[in-house]
This record gives sequence, C-alpha cells and structure tokens, in this order.
Amino acid sequence: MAKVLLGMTMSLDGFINDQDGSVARLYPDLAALRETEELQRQIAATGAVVMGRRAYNMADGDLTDYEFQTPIFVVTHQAPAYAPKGQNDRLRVHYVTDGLASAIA
Amino acid sequence: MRKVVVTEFLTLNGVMEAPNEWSFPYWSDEAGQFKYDELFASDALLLGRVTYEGFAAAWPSMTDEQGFADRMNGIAKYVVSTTLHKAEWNNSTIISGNVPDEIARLKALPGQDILVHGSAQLIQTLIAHNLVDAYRLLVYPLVRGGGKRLFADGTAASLQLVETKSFSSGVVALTYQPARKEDN
Repeated sequence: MAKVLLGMTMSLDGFINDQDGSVARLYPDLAALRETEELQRQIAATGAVVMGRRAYNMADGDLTDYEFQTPIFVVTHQAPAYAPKGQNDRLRVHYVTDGLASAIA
Repeated sequence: MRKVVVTEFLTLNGVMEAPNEWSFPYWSDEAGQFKYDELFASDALLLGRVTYEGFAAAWPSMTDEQGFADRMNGIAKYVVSTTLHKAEWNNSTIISGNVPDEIARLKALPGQDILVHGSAQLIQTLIAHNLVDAYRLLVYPLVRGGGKRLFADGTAASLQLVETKSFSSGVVALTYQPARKEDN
C-alpha cells in the first residue's frame, strides 16, 4: 500500500508561506533544489501527487517541467474550466471534486 | 569578542515553552554531551527574569557526577529585569536598564561564550539589537499546539547553518549564526 507523505518546505519557525501566500523566501534557488540528492530521492520515490487548489493555482495551470512527472490529483470544489498545460504520458491532472478521501483512495 | 549563544529546546513548530513537559522522554547521552560541551565552553548565563527565577529555585540543590550543576551554580549569571531587586543565586548580577549597551559591554569583556537559556522575552530584545551570535537549537520530533515561540510573530531573520547533528532519539541539533548582511 502506498504511503501518504507530507512534503513540505518550512522556515525554521514553522511557516510554509508568508502572510501574502508567497513562498519566494523558501525557494531562493529552485533549480539548485531540484539537483539535490534529497529531492532526487523524493522524485524517484513518488508515484502520485495530491495537492489542494491553492498549491495548484501557484503553477497557474502550467505544469510543464514540474519536478514530479506523475499523475496529479487536485482536490477542489470546482474544476477549472481551462485545460492544464504540461500534461504528458506520465503527468496527467485529475480534478477531484468529491473530497480528499476520494483523492487518496 | 565573546559570543552570545541562544540555546533552546524546540518543538518542530518552533515552540520553546515548558520543555520540561515534553523533552524528557527524548533525553540521551548524546544530548547530555551536547549540553555539557556547550556549558563548559561558556562562563556566563544571560537570562530573563522568568527563566532566572525557575533556575534559581532548582539548580542550587542539584549535583551530578559530571559537574554540570556545579558549573551552573558557579558561573556568572546576568538576569535582565526591571522588577527584580535581589538575585540570590550564587554569582548573579541584575541588569535593569540600558540592556543592549550592558550586553554589548559584557560581550567586549574577555571570556568564554555567554549562554542564553529559555528567556523568550529577552531573546526578542537580543534579536532586535543584533546581539545574538549563534543559535543552538535542539529540535524535538513533536508538535505543540501552543506556547511561547522562539521567534515571535513578526520576527524576520536570515540565518546561516553552521552545524547539524542527529541524535538517535530523533532530536536534531541545529547551530545557526545570523547571516552576514550581504547574504540577506
């Protein structure tokens, strides 16, 4: 059975974004982060990604070159009208509108 | 120049309050050695009034084979308070005004590190006046829903990681120093 892991980038005082919702200070160099052993290990071990609508919106509907090239399950009350960009054989976006439990199952 | 070293037990979400309620199950020889090395690299404690009063009530009656308690009781204590009139724990001095200047003066004296334990409120003053030279944080694998945090709401700081150690108990020791201005 697959495990659910919370993958978080967090400041020393426990925040995962600032008061404006920005994560810029947590990711000063995204390209360098991708090269790290830890992220490469996570990428290799991840079979699917579940995210909320806000996290999804941060990509602005474009998942081209997203580090996790896996099925993506976006938990949302209402699926966006537009089709996401960056989909391919491995990365496919699924909008889940009937609750988190359904996304995990 | 002596360093002011803030040393704390922290939950994963940054709470520093009442470690006596949550840190003991994770105590280990490794953690003990860490605290021992830290204390013996220091020759002064700088404490807020609340932490001072807690320590002053507990430490004088303690002894141990390693000499940790003797060292705690022997070294110089500086307690920052505007309300305290007497500080009776051995070798104590009250700092009641001009706190940033007084601490800068202590730092300029010859000696070893100046250790800050607990002292949530005092630390906010130290941070605001750029008086902290290092943070030595034992981060425990648990989350507390509330309590005083090391970094109060609104505090912003850029830090440079100096050292990490993992203990088999799941505790991680993180040592930071403030980032130099050009690193911000």
